[in-house]
Amino acid sequence: MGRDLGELRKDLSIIDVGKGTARDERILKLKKQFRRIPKAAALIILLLLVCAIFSPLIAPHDPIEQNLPNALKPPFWQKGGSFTYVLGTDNLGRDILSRIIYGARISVIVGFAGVLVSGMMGTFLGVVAGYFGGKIDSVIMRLTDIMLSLPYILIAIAIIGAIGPSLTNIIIVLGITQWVGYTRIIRFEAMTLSKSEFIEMAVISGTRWWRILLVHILPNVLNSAVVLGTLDVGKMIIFEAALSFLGLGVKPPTASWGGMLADGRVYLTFAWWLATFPGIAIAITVLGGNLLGDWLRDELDPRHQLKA
Amino acid sequence: MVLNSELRTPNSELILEVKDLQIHFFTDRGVIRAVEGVDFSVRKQEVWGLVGESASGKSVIGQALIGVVARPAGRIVSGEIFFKGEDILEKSPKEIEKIRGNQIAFIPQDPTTALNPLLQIGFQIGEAFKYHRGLRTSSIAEEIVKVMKVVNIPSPEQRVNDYPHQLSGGLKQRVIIATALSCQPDLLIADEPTSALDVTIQIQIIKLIREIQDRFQMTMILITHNLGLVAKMCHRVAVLYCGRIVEEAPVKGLFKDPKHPYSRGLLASLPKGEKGNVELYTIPGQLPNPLYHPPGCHFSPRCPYASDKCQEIPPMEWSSEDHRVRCWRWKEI
Amino acid sequence: MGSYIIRRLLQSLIVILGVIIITFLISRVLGDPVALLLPPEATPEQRAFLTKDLGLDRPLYVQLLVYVGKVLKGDFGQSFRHQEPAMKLLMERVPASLYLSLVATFISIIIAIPLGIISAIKRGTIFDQIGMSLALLGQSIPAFWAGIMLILLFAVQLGWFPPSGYGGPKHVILPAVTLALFFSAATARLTRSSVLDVLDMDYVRYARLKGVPEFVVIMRHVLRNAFITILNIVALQLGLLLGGAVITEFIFSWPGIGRLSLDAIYNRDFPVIQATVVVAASFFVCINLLVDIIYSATDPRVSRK
Repeated sequence: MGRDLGELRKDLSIIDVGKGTARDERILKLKKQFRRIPKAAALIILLLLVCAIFSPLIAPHDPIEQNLPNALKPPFWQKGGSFTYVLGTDNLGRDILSRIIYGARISVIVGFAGVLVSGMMGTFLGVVAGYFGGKIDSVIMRLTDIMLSLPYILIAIAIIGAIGPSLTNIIIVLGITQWVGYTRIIRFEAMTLSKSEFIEMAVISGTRWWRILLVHILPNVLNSAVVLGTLDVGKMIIFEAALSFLGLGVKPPTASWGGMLADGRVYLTFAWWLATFPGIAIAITVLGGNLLGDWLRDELDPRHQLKA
Repeated sequence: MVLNSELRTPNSELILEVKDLQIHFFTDRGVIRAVEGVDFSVRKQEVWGLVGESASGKSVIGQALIGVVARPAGRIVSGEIFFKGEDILEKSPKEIEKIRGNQIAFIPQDPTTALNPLLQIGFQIGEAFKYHRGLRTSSIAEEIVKVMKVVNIPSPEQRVNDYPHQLSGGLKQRVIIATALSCQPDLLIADEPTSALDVTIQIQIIKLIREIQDRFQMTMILITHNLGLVAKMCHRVAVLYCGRIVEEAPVKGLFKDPKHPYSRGLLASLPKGEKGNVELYTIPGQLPNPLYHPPGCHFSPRCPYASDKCQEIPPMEWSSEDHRVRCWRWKEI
Repeated sequence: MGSYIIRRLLQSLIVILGVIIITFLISRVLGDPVALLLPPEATPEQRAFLTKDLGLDRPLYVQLLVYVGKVLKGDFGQSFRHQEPAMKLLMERVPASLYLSLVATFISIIIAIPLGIISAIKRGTIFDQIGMSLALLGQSIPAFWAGIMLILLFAVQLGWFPPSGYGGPKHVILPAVTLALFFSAATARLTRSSVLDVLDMDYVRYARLKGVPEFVVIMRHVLRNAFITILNIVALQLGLLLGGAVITEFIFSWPGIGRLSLDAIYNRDFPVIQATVVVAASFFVCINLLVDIIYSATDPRVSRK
């Protein structure tokens, strides 16, 4: 028909008369492009993993070795900088780039382990609450309410302050404070599932409750759990960085992005690169995690099938 | 089967003419040709039925007539819809807003989801009044109660302030019908008006709609999968299969002498109240995947009379003055 | 509606009670108050005396009951560090935190909610894509790093604002923006998705079918129905704000309860830690309760049976 009713198109509910196949092909292509977004995110995560696993091979310098004469050298594009220390050096002469690459290790470990611990706890409690209902459900729900209302940073700091800063302790603290996010949603799903007929059949035919939980309910909530987990990786990384920033993270001289930020803050006025680059690393990593999580969620969302 | 013998003969002037309507849905997985070249016309004061299974495209046509096609995927690729002589597809959004609810009214399938749970029903009925008739608030209240009485809502003066959740399914559908009638539309489109209701309520609502059509001599398009409903209510009926009209005739004519194999199959599968063990007939095969309609006649894979010629799209032919069918072999079968 | 509110009230009380108990347990686990209060040279007799004086020799559940009783009266005991009641110290700092939180909330609401709504309405357009990308970015950037960068740019390089300290608009703007960063991003995304949910509802479609002008459909049907969800989101974020301001207050040397509690943790000042946690948690619970009350009053499905 060849009409282009531009105004008509913008209106949400109005008839949209197209130009015919050419335009529609373009729309289809755009949609395909949308599906490419996770590739950028996947790349970021891949990069992160590569840095973490192969740090000794990639990093140009030793991240811990101090080299005071070389302290506070700027990145290569500024006066005084060089390609030896691409992103400059910190106050102890250590190469920023290498420290960032090694710092990826901490982030990866914390990100995945933290998600694993909190995810498992949260999913377990959610499934129990959703399946059994009644008093058990109420108790677990009150517990989540209480945990939610506690300012998590304070709790984390308090606990670390008591048991001492270390990687393991950080993961423990993350697990203790972050499981709540999973429980609510998993509980809802478990509840819906429990009412479905095939669960009824299983109960009637005498299957034990632990078998039902393990074999029927758990696999079905795993989808959501994985999505939540992916979205949470970024949160974990930021959390760890925050703790390290406050001096409660991994002990120096281990390179951690948060710790680098803390160091850099002191020298902000004349050595901006100490604080800037680790932060960019965090931001990019978290962005990648969030993008991936979003994409995953959209892919697994059944409603999405209806919307083109 | 009760036929529509009580319906008065309609005026022969056309109120709606649809020409070569094509509506496609562009999804990630491909193009769904929901409506492929549909032509029909509806006369004034006529009740025109559109019969089809789910995924036949009937709801999409209903939506297109009132100007809502599910964006962003759905688009009217070509065609013209002449309402009272003017192509509404050419109109601006503002113009169409004026027509909707006012000259063309729509009764959706599910009354529960169609009503906003946070607003009083009286208000929701009156919304149409407000924007189309520009009445002042004082006169609107009267009009609302009036139209509620038309649809037999008990104690309308009190119920006006009720919220949707306080009403039963049947009452909610009456509210919807009242809303549709409020501006005295020239054309009423009903999309499965009874499917979401209990069986006993369905009968009430059907009676109500018939009363209203009779009383106001309203032109109606009834979209349904229920042939019994069509028999009771419609003057003429068109059968839709996979986006194409395969047959159209006066109701008597279709039920007595269906010419298209699909229509025959539909009618054959209706239980006829025979005694004894009678096996119900079902049309063999299944609906094709909406993404991949068979070439030529969409029904050919399931048709007992299919031949090689059916690989080409059969044209619509008139078997008699008011009966048309889209099949290569209608003369022989 | 009444029964709903009573139920929620009860739940809230249980939660606050639970918080109080947990703070009690945590501080008992974390350390021995006696060891903290006395210098290392203290004699065993002095220790014994203090233990009795603080009531630490009685069984745990008795201590707990005494503690709960005191807390409900607002008595958290004396701060170990400063010789003043912990509650008093806390209350002195609350106005500063409140000031910061409110400014941050205000900034976020003004930016995020319209952004979310318009992105939802214009779903799929450039506006939507850019808006949501920005929101995603905002959620990915760690707030404390953003704060540092803001200081770098606006205080060090440009010199427009002071890098730290308490005061009027000039002082509050950088920390407020830092806090608002994550808050706005999350709010914008959540607002968008809840508006989208409403946009897909049949009654919105039906309102259009009736011929109601699009603008009215948005205002009357979409926003009204999305309102309570958006309110929920804002309340949740506000509640979290008080707890999450710790690092921001630290970076900007803002004298709020976050800074106070941080120092308290470093100094093992339990009464102050407990007071902060209980007050912050209670604040959060109260806000949520308020939102629920508003919900039950405005949703006819709950307010009329």
